[in-house]
Amino acid sequence: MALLSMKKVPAINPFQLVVHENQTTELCCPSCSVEARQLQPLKERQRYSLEQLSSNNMRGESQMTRYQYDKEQYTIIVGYDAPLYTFFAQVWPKGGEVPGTHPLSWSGADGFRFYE
Amino acid sequence: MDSASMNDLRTQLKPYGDIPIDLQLQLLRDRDRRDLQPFAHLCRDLVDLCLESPSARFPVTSLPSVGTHYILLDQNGWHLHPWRFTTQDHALEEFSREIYGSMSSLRWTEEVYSYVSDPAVVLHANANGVNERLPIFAGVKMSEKLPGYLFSGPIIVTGAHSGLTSEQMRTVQREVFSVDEALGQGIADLWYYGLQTIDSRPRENG
Repeated sequence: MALLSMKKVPAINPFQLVVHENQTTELCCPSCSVEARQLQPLKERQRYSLEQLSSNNMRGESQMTRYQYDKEQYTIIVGYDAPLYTFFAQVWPKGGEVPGTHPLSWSGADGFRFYE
Repeated sequence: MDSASMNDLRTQLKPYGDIPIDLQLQLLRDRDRRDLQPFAHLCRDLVDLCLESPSARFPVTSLPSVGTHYILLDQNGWHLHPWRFTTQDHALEEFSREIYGSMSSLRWTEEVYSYVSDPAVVLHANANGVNERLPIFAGVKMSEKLPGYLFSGPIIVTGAHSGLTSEQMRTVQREVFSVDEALGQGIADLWYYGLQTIDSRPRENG
């Protein structure tokens, strides 16, 4: 399994989860077709995320989890999107910009899309 | 709008290799932490996850063609033994010793008759395993309508009054599974958390 390098996967301890990350950089929600460049400026989106956390999440956890690992020539991102009640997955070419603008595959609340 | 299940994710990512099973377990925990699932959903997902492991099923190539046997499933996986008991009581005493370990006073195991599609296949389990939160070593995959089940502690699989026939062994091979050691602790934590919160979970079709 030398080709598989895991990132951001916390040690197994189900009731003290630590690593949850909001997607606040370049991605809209994984099931949304809106491209990153059409979104609001980053600063505003970050503030919105923090407000969402304080009002909607009494346990102080992120509403979205996101993990990334490499497998062969791919970089794969998977996670759970609580507001949309869905798992999501994205496949990107390894070595490129992740997330970029040309995923090989994308899935979430709107079914699968393959771009290869 | 349809949400993507864990099975959808596996299907989508299949061309790019399997999702690591410890990561699948983490994703199930993430979901249950945020959206408490109906217990049947959680159970079905845990059963499917256990079956992702290549060592989950009894190897087909090891299925015996003659004689009757019984199976022990414990922390070391599958153990196939020839049926050597002269009486049912003798067998049950031996099973109790294997399931409860060395004990001064003998306790009979709980016999589960209805979890495998062949009602003559019996699962012998620790009667107090859930209360004691014993590790999870084995489970049963049921029909599409039923979610399946995970057992607390070691189990022994036999026929109703003797060992398993070859046909029954094939049924066990299809429906009973071993829990991968690497997943055991995480599966057990989520399983017991599910049982503990079962009353506060939504109904499957509600």
